[in-house]
Amino acid sequence: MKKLNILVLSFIFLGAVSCRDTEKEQEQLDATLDKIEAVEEDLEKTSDEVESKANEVESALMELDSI
Amino acid sequence: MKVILKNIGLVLFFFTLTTATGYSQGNSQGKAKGKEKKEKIKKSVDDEADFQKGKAKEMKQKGQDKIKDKAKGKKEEVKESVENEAERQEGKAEEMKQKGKDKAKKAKKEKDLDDDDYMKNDDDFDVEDEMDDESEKKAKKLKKEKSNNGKAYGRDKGDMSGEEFGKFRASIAKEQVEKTEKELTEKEEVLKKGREKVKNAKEKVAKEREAKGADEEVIKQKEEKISNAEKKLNELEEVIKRNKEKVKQKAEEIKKVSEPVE
Repeated sequence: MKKLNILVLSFIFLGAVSCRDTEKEQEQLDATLDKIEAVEEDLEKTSDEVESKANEVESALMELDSI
Repeated sequence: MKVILKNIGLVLFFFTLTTATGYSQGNSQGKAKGKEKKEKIKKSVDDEADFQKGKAKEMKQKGQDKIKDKAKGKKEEVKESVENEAERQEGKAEEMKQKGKDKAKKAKKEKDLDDDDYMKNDDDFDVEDEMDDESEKKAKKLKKEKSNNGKAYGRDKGDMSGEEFGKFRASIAKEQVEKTEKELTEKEEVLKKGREKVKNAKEKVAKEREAKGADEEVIKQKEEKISNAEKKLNELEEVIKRNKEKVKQKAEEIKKVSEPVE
């Protein structure tokens, strides 16, 4: 009976430990993905800003062709 | 009794052993599958990007031709529609505000008059609650849309483990950082060529000014064009400088984020 109790308790312990780890891992992953997405968004904004400025420059330079 | 317990112990031991082995095998197979899937996703994303790039170039060319003709008329049209929409939204907001105020006043009045009429007031509070719920729903929807934001891989791990998926997303972000750096370098080239062009134009106009019989007004117009181009070039230089720093910072952030994952 004592052995059975030990076995059952060890199973419960294992189950609890594995569940907690998964949750922690998911939280870590979510935090990482949040940061990555924020960086990606910023990079997209940067690209757009530079692209629009470059377009303005190109059209201003095209005006110089007629000089 | 002892023998039975011993047998139960043995059975449980073997059961645990086989389950653990099976799980670890499945895990390693899953990892292999994950890698395959990762490669597949990456390939499909690259293919799609190439396809879209080609398409975008084509569209850009077509659009540039059309835009020039339509821009003037469309600008006016868009401006008008935006103004109308803004007016409409403003009116609606005012109306809602007024309604809310009236209802709050009514509720307060009724509450003051009779405590037994609480159920009546409850209807008004329901309206306010509904409004809150609606705005909350909209915010949630927006957040959801933002989280996906056109990224096919988004947060769908597929068969990959959390660690693998984190690495995969970090590698994609790194690629984006590199792409942005490349774009900035390309724009620096545009800047350099632009400066050269402005310099040539300036020399040309100076020669024209020196020549006898040059029209002062025409020269002034040309100088205006040159100064406008110069202004735009300076702005671009500023934007490139600022964003180079920003991209450097973002690269560091990605490095930091991917370090604990790796």
